Amino acid sequence: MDSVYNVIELIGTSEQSWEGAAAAAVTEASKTLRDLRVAEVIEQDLLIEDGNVVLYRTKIRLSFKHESGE
Amino acid sequence: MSQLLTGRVDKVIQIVAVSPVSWEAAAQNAVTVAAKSIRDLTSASVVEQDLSLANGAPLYRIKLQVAFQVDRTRTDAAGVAVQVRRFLIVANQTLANAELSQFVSSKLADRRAEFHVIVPQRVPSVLHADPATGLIGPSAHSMVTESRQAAREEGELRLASFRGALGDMGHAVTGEVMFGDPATAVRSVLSRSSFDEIIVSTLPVGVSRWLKLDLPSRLERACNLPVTTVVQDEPS
Repeated sequence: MDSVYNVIELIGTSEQSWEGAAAAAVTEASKTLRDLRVAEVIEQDLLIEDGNVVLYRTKIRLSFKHESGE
Repeated sequence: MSQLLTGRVDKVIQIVAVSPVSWEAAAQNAVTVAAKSIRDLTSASVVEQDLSLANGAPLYRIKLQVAFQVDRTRTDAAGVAVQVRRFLIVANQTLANAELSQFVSSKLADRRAEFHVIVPQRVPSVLHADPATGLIGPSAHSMVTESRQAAREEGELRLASFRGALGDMGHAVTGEVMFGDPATAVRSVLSRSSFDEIIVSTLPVGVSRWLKLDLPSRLERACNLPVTTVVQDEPS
């Protein structure tokens, strides 16, 4: 059977790591989405204050099965 | 478009740093170094991450891209926009002299100037490989590491006392100890920050190694910036 997937992008943040930031995004998405399959890291950056890294940000691309509602 | 409207221009540079711990630690190393000479560093994006294995131990490497303002508009104490002139000072032994700190504090007083000091230290003597094996012995390595550490500490100490001589204005001056040829050190700083003028503070002709190497005119040619040479005697 043919399938269709939705693809969305999310940005998660963490004070500890990019892994934490990615996990935050996936955790939030899994609250409202079913059948999450693959999360792909597409961008990472960080915020700096007084020469110190204060926040890690990870942008992920999530795909999940499209449900037509039939 | 917004750049055209505001007249703001940013310089974009990439930095590579490593850490045996994590990519996050490598990123912090990169940010710490960059923040020494770049004001108002607020964010960095990751361009590339990779991993190398040295004797089976992972080494995390990260390439960051940062953007920073090149324009010279600052706000003075009264809230008025002023244009500052940025000076790059190259000094080592003469950092302790009163002439240099007087010059800097007179410029700092009206908030029309910013200073970054580089303290170039000579790389400890060249390693000689064992003629039999062609390898460099571990004892030679640790000796060089120790003398490098000593040279770094000496440089940091000079920098700290220079800032101390400036009193309250001392923390407005940034600085760093660098190893190797001073001209290379200057070029490396110019690649991640921008300046209007270079000041070479050195000992008198005959004593000064930098003047013997013709550092001021080499810098002028290589960096396309005005270079002022301040010749001072060693502090008595």
